Amino acid sequence: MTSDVKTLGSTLEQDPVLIGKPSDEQLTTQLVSPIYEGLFTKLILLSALGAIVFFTMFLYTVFTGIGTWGNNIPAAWAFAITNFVWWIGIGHAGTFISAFLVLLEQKWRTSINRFAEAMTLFALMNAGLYPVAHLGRAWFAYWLIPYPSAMEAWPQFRSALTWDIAAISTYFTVSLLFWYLGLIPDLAIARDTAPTRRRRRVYAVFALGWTGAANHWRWYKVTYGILAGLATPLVISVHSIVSFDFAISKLPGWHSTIFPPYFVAGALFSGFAMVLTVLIPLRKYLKLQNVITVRHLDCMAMVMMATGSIVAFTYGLEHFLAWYSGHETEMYALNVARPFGPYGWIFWIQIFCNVGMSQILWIRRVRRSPWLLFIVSILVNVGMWTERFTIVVGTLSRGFLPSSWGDYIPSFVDGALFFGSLSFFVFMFLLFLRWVPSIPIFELKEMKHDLEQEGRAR
Amino acid sequence: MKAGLVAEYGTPEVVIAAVEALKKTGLSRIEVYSPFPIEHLPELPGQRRPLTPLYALVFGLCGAGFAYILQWWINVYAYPLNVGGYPLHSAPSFIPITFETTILFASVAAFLGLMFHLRLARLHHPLFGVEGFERASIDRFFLAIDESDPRFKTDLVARALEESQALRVVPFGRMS
Repeated sequence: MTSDVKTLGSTLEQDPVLIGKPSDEQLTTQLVSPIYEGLFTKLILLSALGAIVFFTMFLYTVFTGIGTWGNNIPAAWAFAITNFVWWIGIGHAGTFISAFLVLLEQKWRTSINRFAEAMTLFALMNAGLYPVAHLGRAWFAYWLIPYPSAMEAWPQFRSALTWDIAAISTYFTVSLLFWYLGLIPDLAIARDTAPTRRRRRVYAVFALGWTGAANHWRWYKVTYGILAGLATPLVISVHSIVSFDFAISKLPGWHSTIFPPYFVAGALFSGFAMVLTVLIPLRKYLKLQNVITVRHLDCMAMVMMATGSIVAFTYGLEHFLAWYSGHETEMYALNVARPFGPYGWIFWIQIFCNVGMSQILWIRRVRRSPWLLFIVSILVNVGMWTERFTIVVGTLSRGFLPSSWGDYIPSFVDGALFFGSLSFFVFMFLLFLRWVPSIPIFELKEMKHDLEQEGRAR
Repeated sequence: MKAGLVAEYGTPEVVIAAVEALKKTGLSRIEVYSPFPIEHLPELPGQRRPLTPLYALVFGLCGAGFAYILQWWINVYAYPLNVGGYPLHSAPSFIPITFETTILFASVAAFLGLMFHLRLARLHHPLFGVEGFERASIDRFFLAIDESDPRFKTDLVARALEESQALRVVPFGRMS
């Protein structure tokens, strides 16, 4: 059965997932040496400045209050929730690539999974900070966790806020464990190849004494599979829960049963876009074209095309259902205020980026051209941010009562927090590239041997 | 693996052949070290089936029970609060947290179970003292036999290893 599938796969014209025939040693040296070169010093310092801006603004907000933001009633949620949902969504591609595709035994995940997982972690760090600042009194954030307090007050579990806490803390913990588990054998490689004694010692501590014993590999593989199996439903549940923040309320444009699948598809769409945005320049800079081939780009673009098409379909469905419901407010909010209201221009950017750019991926040449794909991925990131803005602010500013309509204008702090969080993401990512093997080396070597065996069997 | 003999090989195929040959001699305390999991490696004697799936299942179910019972107790008994006339025990609202906690407990249990069984988070291993063992994570394959093996006789094992196309055979650890 398996051999049938393999011969079938080989008759299709597909690009290789690994170019050339490097020896194990060459492959190891190529992939591990960037972490000994002290890369990106200037960029790290530059992005550190942005990260400092982020945390300064965060602390300013915590000490002063969220009056520093542009939100006010009726638009009580704005940039913070938009950014929160955007970052969480971006994180989802990492788990999807590393967990879902490992269960599907997709070979093209191998070179890119660690990148994507690291991206998940850093995106989640950003995402988690927004709701905390949004509480207004961030120092009481722990009240959301059920603990036996002297006040004998407990959280209320019919609120989506408590679900968010559970979902995001679980998601971060599981992503971290999964990422670290995948990293252990490669940290052992770093321990064994690092040029200086000090570095060897540091990597040795983090490698936890990994020897590569056969029995260890066996347990390791099974446990990795278990974590992948657990992370797969987790990733779907997390964005469903994020969508419940909206869907369990009663506002027009939010109170909708299509929200969970709509949000999950949107999350994967934006997440894959972010993976490409990060991957394409890096692939060129670190000369990884032999391990991250056009095949990888093509596959990721196809996932974007599929999830983007689900998103586009849901846009249509949203507006159709608003009309079909016959509900006056619903019809006005979705079919008049959204496209033609004060934020109409943002809505049209959203349509152009998300519907237009996902459909342009039907063209094979776009999927296989790194630079076109890079532009598409940037536009999709923009588009998915505007989508969340339209959902959050568009709905809140045009609610049921015309007397309580009101517009939202972002403040300087809003903008600084957003650009600061982008810098913080870049900062963390560069540190990761500087210190940690960013391509799973042992997995590539294993895949190489599998491919060689397949080649010999034929 | 505390002390014994270790042999170095260049390809996974040779190691597989060596393991098969050694298993026939009745040696039982054999371990193979490789830079990546070797497919089709014959089962080594005396090794346990991975238990982490079991841990994940048991702790996952515990997490589910813990989360649901905690939410129910808090919202029905400890701090009942009428929100929009919904019943105090609203099962659908308790599902998201129950699900998340299940995954959290299962994943953490699987990870910690792995660390515990592999005795990981250790700083040293006798094999790290063998010169050239660094390449076990790069491109070489090692086969070690512990001297505590009841059938272990240094000269016999050394000969068996040399006959198995080993690149070299060296002692490791403090041999008695």
